[in-house]
Amino acid sequence: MFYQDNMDNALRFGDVLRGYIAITPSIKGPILAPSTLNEGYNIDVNLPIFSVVLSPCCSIGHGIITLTPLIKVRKAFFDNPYFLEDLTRINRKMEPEQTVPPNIWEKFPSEEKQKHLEEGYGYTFLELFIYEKNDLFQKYTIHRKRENIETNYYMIDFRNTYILNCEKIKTPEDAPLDSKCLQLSLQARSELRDKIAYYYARIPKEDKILED
Amino acid sequence: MDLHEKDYDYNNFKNQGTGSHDEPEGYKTILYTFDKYQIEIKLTPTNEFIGIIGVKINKEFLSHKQKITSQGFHDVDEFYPE
Repeated sequence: MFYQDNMDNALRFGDVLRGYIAITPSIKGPILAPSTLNEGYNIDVNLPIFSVVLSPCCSIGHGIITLTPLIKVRKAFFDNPYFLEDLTRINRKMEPEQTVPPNIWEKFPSEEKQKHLEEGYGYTFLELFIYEKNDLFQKYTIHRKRENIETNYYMIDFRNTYILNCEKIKTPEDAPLDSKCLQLSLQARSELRDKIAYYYARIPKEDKILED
Repeated sequence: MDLHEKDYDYNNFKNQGTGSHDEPEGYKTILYTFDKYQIEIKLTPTNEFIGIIGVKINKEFLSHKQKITSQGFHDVDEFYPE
């Protein structure tokens, strides 16, 4: 079970919400002098159909929430039979040979294969988390050479995270609960927590060497 | 230009001083990689060990084993083009 049947009367980490704008600020380069502030920046605002709460449950409130838009999944995911059976497998650790389609695994040079085997049971697509199909989500078509697939799987990308001020979000309970559409089950929320924690907690190789 | 004996001794003496970075002709410095370090070793012209003159972090620190292990996840993005 990916979604909770009976939702809490509170906003929770991983909830699917509607009615919150997404903001993407862009600059051409660093604005190093205040006099150039008016040059070369852009702020895109749009209204995604659904957003996902990425504030930890206890940190929702005080008029601030962290969100990310729910977006369509990559069509190439459907080329991997292991993912095709259940796209939410991308959310969990897997065996090395399950991370790519079998035809690609077979063609891996021995060094590449060895690299993955040494890595063992682990995550892939660290920045992504798949949201299970739901009748609430609009279906869309994945265009493929062999056959098109209709799906309503969606996903979030941790790199798209932004904060939004909303004075009506005072506490998790004292918030616009009519904007809440879906709540993750305990297990799915735990998987989201594990994966995003891993995403931020991984140590680059350059730092690992100094820890040895 | 010929050097007077006194000058020659002086130059020889100067090159052997602790503050000198000059390397007498024929002597050489090699870099020996040990784990994550690079050790600078001074050798005579006949490759006899003189001493260690420096130790620094190896910028190419990833051993073959490190290169193939412990990235913490499977990076397979390139096999799933958009």
